Amino acid sequence: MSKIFLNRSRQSLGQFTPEAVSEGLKSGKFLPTDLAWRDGMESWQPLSSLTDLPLAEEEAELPPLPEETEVKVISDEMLIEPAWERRSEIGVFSALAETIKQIFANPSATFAHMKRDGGYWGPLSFLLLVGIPSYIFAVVCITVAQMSILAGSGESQVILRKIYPDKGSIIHMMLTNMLLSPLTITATAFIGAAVIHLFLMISGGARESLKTTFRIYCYVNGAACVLQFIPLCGMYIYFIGAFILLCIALRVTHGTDSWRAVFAVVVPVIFAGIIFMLLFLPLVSTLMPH
Amino acid sequence: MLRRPAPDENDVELIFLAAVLGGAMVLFIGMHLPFLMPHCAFRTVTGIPCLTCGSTHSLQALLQRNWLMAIRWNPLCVLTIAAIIMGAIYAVITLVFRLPRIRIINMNAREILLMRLVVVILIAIDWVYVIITQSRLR
Repeated sequence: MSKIFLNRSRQSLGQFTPEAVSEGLKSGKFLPTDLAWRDGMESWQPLSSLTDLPLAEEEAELPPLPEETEVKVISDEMLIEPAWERRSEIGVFSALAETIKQIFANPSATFAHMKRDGGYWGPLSFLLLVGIPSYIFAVVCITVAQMSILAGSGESQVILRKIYPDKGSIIHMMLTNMLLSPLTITATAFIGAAVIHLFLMISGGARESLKTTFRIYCYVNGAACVLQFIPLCGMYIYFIGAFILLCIALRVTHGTDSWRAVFAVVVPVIFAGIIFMLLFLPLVSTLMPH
Repeated sequence: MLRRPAPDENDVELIFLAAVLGGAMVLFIGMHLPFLMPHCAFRTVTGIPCLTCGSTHSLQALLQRNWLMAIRWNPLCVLTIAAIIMGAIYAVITLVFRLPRIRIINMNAREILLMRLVVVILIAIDWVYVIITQSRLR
């Protein structure tokens, strides 16, 4: 008999043999309300509707635990929520690494268990801790690239020469960017979250508060910032990574559908792109050599 | 295998399509602002082209419908773009006609390893090609 796919609260539980499903139902691992699908079925159905599952074997009698054993209860939610929420217990660097891993490995489960009402500082500190080094790295890469363009020849060199008359002005800009990075990242987080939340409200998908959207924005961008360390195309990969993770996180956390989440991310990005083009392309054309 | 997504499952096709749209927009902006396009630091430092060198030229050739020149600049770039376009077409068709989605399941460790090996070999071949040909093309 083919394997059965199970799904609960917007996340896949995996695929199991009918025997394992039957055992899981008996032990409480699976719920009758979990959605199930297997080859040949038209659509997902509650597990309780599968009537042809084999009977579970009798549970083996387990030996009793020693009386002096101390059992520490850790709930599933504690293990799945972003580890950054437990940084005081597991340490800042472990929590940082674990959170990045969680967000990339299983974004749906991580954001499904993220606290909706926490403070602003927790997620923002995560974003700043990862964001500042990656921002500085990106600024240094851009500076190196601009230096090499200035040293060469061609159209780009002529344009850059008009913006930065000498290498000193490029370095001055780099240092200013580095010093302002905490402020830039913080301001971008608040503005970005507010814009996304606004579009989520327009699409009718905002089921949680702006604070929740802000928390999502910080965790997603904090994790995706790591991608900026990839040489050359890091910024592009960061953009795509953050884009995809934001869509997933918004859908899961706000309990909305994919269309509304994608709308809330795509439309502001397209607007930002159009505004950028309208502002910068005329500027570039005035700088172009004739 | 083909199956319909669960009611609360991520709509992978929709998110992929949106990411392609966003990525295309960023690339479009980058290509119109040449000093924003990444300059190859690897080539500047070592004198050897990196494996993505020629991608911008390849893209520009593709936009001018100069297919042969696009392949000559960086074949893997053309292959990747072709795969993305095919993926986007598949995503549009499944979303518009609400068709069941293709899902790769039950891959064993050996098959996964084989798949990774193929990708690594393709990248390596492309890099060797880029190193040999770029000096002639520039």
